[in-house]
Amino acid sequence: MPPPGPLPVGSAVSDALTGLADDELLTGHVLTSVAGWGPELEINIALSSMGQDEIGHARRLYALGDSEGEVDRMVYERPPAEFRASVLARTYPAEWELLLARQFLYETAGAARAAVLAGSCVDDLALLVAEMEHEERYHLDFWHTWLRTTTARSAGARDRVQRALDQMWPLATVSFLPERPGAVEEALGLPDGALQRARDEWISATHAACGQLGLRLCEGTPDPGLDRLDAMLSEMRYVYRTAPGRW
Amino acid sequence: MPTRDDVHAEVRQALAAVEDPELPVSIVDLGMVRGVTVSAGTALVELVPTFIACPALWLVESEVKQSVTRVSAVDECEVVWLEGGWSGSDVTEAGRRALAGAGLAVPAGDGTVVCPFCGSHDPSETSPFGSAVCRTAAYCQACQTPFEVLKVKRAVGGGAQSPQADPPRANGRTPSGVAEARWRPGGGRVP
Repeated sequence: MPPPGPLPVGSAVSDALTGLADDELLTGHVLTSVAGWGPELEINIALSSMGQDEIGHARRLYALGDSEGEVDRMVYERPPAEFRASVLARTYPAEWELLLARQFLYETAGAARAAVLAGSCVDDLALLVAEMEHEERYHLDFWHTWLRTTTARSAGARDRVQRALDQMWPLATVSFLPERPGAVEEALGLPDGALQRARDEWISATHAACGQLGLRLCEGTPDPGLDRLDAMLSEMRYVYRTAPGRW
Repeated sequence: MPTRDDVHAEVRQALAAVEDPELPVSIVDLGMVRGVTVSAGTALVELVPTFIACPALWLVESEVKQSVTRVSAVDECEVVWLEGGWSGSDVTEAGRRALAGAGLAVPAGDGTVVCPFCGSHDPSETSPFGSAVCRTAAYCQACQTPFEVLKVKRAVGGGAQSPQADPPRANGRTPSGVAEARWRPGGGRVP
């Protein structure tokens, strides 16, 4: 295990951090964009608030390994091909049940992964992840509550949630691990295989949670047609392109 | 010639004059100021954010620099943000009174919330998401008044990764023992 110290730069860890930050950024964009869909006005406030949290987390994760001023470049100027966002985070749901499935899987997976990363010997990362998770608990509760509420509303609603899970689950299962989990574990001082074990436990727990609601999680092939990264970046960067410069 | 203690006191006063842009309370009473040192005309102010995504951090930093550099013995002010560590228990009694005066409650150390209007100990949380990322919404049955509560950080662990875990109580205990690391809100870490 490496001794406690600064974040290794230019490594599998940097790539993994960029991936986590990209996921938070895109998720923040999705949530703030759909504020207005909620079946109650309070829900719209919640969506907006969670979106702000995610964007703030993205900012911190980008900044962790980079110099001042780099965050703007990462968000507004980086070519889409350099984004390391997971396939789940690249989806841009067009209806409530898809949003619900995306966010339930995203938040539960994020919590499972964070529980491992918070044990890193890299203090900056461990502290940031722990701090983020205190805030993400509100999100986790929200999406779990709404999964139960929506599913229980009617047979039709449960069918729509099921179809949404059928689309999102194959994406979620391939989004959990970083590209090189072994290298990330070694650099962060994590036990060998810790991330894979966390993924396995998350899959079991998610099967159980959905089963309690009468929902199934089916194996499948991720649909590449759900990748909406370009559309999201186009929206996100519209004003920046129109009126470039520091604000 | 002012003594070091005089300068330090003046800097603390200057910090006390800076209010959180989203809360009607000084950043000192809010518990955001963790350290102040002054050396050779440069003040170093250590702050903690209430929430990572707080959109007002930039403004707070700017106003701190502006206020502190008005102290005659200070030429420059550097602000360092510390990672984590803020909780409702950091708010001073004066801060709690100021917030209550504006209809905002701060949970006690055990998570209980008192209505800022009538003092009832039995308000209910109506939404964990309030009008700002750092607030929840609550309602007092006793005086039938809605109000907001500074959001406490929910405990992690004991099933955080488990989707079937029961949600924690609305007024979860604030975690403690989080060590601090230095960071700047916009970019590079402080060596």
